Amino acid sequence: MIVEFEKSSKIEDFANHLQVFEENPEVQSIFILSCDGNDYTAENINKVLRNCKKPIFGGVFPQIIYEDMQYEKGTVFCGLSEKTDVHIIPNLSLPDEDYDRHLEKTINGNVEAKTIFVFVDGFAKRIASFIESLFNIFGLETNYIGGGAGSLSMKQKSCLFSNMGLIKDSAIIVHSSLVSGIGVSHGWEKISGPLKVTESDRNRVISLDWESAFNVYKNIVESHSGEKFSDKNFFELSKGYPLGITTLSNEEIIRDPVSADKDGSMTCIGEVPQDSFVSIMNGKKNSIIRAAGNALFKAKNELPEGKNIDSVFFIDCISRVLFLEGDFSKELAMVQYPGKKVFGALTIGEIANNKKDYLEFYNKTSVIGVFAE
Amino acid sequence: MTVSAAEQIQLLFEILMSVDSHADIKVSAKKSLSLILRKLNCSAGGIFFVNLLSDESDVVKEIISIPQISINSFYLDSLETFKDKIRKTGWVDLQKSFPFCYNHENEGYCHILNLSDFGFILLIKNNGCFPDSFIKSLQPVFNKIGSIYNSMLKNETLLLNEERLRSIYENVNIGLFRISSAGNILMLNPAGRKILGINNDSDLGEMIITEFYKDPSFRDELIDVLETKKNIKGIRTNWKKKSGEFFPVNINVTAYYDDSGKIRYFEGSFEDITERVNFENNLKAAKENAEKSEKLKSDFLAQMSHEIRTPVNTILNYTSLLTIDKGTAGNQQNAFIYDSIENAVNRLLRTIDLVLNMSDIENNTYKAIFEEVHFERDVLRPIIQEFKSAADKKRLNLELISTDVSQKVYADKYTLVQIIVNLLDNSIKYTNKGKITLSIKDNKFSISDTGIGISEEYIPQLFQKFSQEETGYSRKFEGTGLGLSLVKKYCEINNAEISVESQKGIGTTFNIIFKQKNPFINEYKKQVLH
Repeated sequence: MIVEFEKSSKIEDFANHLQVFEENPEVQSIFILSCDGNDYTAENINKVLRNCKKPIFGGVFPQIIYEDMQYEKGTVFCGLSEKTDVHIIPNLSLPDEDYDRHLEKTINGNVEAKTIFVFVDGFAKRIASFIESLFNIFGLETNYIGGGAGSLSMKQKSCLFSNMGLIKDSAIIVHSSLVSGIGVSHGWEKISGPLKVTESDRNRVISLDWESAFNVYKNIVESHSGEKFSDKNFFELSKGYPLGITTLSNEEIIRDPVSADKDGSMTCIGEVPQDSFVSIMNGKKNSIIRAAGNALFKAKNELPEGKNIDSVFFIDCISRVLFLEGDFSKELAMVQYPGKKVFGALTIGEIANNKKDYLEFYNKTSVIGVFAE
Repeated sequence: MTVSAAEQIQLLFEILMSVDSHADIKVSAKKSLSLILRKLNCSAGGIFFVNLLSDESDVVKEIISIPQISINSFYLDSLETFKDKIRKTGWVDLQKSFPFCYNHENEGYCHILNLSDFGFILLIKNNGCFPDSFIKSLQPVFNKIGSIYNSMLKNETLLLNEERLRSIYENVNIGLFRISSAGNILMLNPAGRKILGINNDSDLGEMIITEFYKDPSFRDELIDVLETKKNIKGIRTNWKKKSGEFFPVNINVTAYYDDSGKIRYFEGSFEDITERVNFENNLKAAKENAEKSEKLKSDFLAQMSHEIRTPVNTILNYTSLLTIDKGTAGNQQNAFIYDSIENAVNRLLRTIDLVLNMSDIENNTYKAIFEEVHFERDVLRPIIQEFKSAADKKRLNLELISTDVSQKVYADKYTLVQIIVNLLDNSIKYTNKGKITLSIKDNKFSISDTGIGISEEYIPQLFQKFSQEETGYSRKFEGTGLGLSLVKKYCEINNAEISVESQKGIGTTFNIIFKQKNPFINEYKKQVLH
């Protein structure tokens, strides 16, 4: 795999770099991780993408990772030596959309993939339903890795790369023959007993234990932090207190509350199923940072015996950056592997599975994919 | 793997809640299976319905499997292994061993749990085996899920049946009704409304059925019958449409009683039979016309019989006289002319006889007279004598083989003679060389020839009226095609059975068996005794 970083945020440099990859005979597909802060307009980038003859996939993220640094501008280009089929699943927010049917259409006889890349519009409303469909159709026989693209402005906009141009409210899935090992870890710890989600509507938690969700959440968080919620500080406080959906003998699935609504409900990144159980979580910086290292360790162990690492793909939640602030560089240091390229993105939600663990749309979680030579 | 009791309860609760008992069973199964597999970190799984009423190959039916694509060989192997177990052990006994688990070539573990009487769930796990205690703690939840699926399946079947019945009720073209004992129309299907001319938006509750009877007292009579007899079928009466127009109707009614034995309501069907009644009337008129014209035909034929026979016999008689003188008075050419006239007139007489006889038979006007007939002496010998010259002319050898010269049969002599005459006439007609043999043995008479024979395909039509193997201008032999049809009818009159064996180009044999128990014997005796 050829991985290069283009530090310029200009469309001309993006186009030139893409052309270099397109002209490289060793490159059959191009995987792009780009920053929301780049100076592209939909019009000029679409022209470039549509002119490219090789399959393109990837996303625009709040920040990207290259080596041991995070960037708010620039682009990572990855050249794959295989020609991949890029499938687009549209309407990721439509309430009644049948994703099973869409996914069945993408099969095309290609179910032998070893790794499936999955990128979604991080602000689409039915990501968890889509992930469930992925599981229903393909099961856990394949490794999955990917995440939510989008902007920290919290506005839904075109954020997924395809040969059709930049698209939104969609998912992109790419079947690849790359051999990978996947590791997932978050480092958050429970501070409350399980609360029953008595009412929810997709990513909006309406009530917990039959009480207004925000009231329950507020009482626990205020009591633990010693701080009070005000009209303006919801995210400041909530970024340290995500919800954790209970799973069996695995780490909780983290859900990031991003706003409290007037009706007492809370909106999260990612769905919270009604009738599930959640805990309020909290993390200490050290345990959060260690979790990234733990994810790398798990990923390395999942790589089939005899395979050597070629590169490290790091999908990490942007909210961890917001939480760790200046200490995020320590998390990046945890995932470095001597002599190997590390690249990735800071995402709005993470997607992962290593054939064994819960295929999920995670929040506030570190996902590592190590690719074999 | 350690799972706390609290975690187990949470998990079980979530799984249970994932079964949406209001949804379609497949939708619900998919939703719950997806959750179960993901919560339990299983890579694949399936929910199966066991239908013991189905044939052996279809006892186990897959409701849903995950993943839907590329189910791995382990899953399929596990399923086949399990189906074998059901066949060998039987479903009822096998359920006692639930839940159970086995390893598959170190690829992973297959867990099978009971879904109550519904079927089973198969879970494939490739990251270790569930501990016994845990899997056992899951079993009660799956039993509950199975019970829910079971009731969903029953509901679905019920709904399906209801839907079918509703469809019949809505779409059948006969009227279906429910009427209270007081006569209020409680239910009436669309066809019923259409027949009675009631608008779809009319309120049935205010309508009394008697207003649709031409004679309302007829309903009281029906109810009197229904008080003792639960249902009445095929009653014809006249009803009145909303517009006042009368029409004939066919009614079937069943009465339903309450605990005290009083009629609660009536249910049944009715049909507008206007078309049927018109058709029946037309049919009746047509039958009467046919009978009338049949009578006319018979009278005509009887009249014709006399009117044709008399002049034809005159021609025949005078021709005979001329024939006697042909040697002296005429020359060779005249002799030929007289012969031709005689032959033609004889043929004409035979044809007239056949047509008249067939007419008699068909009109049942033929009166048979049964008597004891000496078959060889009174029937065969005179006929052979009569046809001998015709056989000689074609140089055919005509012989009689009789094993019992005193053989007698109870028969109608006229028709018996006609049977033999027709068969012998045919044999001579269709035989150009060889011989014709008539034989009697016990109650069987046979006539064999060495003629042209009959093709196998034609034999089934042989005894039909106006049938000849070759028809139209191409036929080689003259005749009306009535002869064998009459022979068969005559055999029936004499309680005899006729059959034929023939080979094209070799010859034909007709066999007639006179049945031992002659039904006409009694009649014969009656005639003799009186």
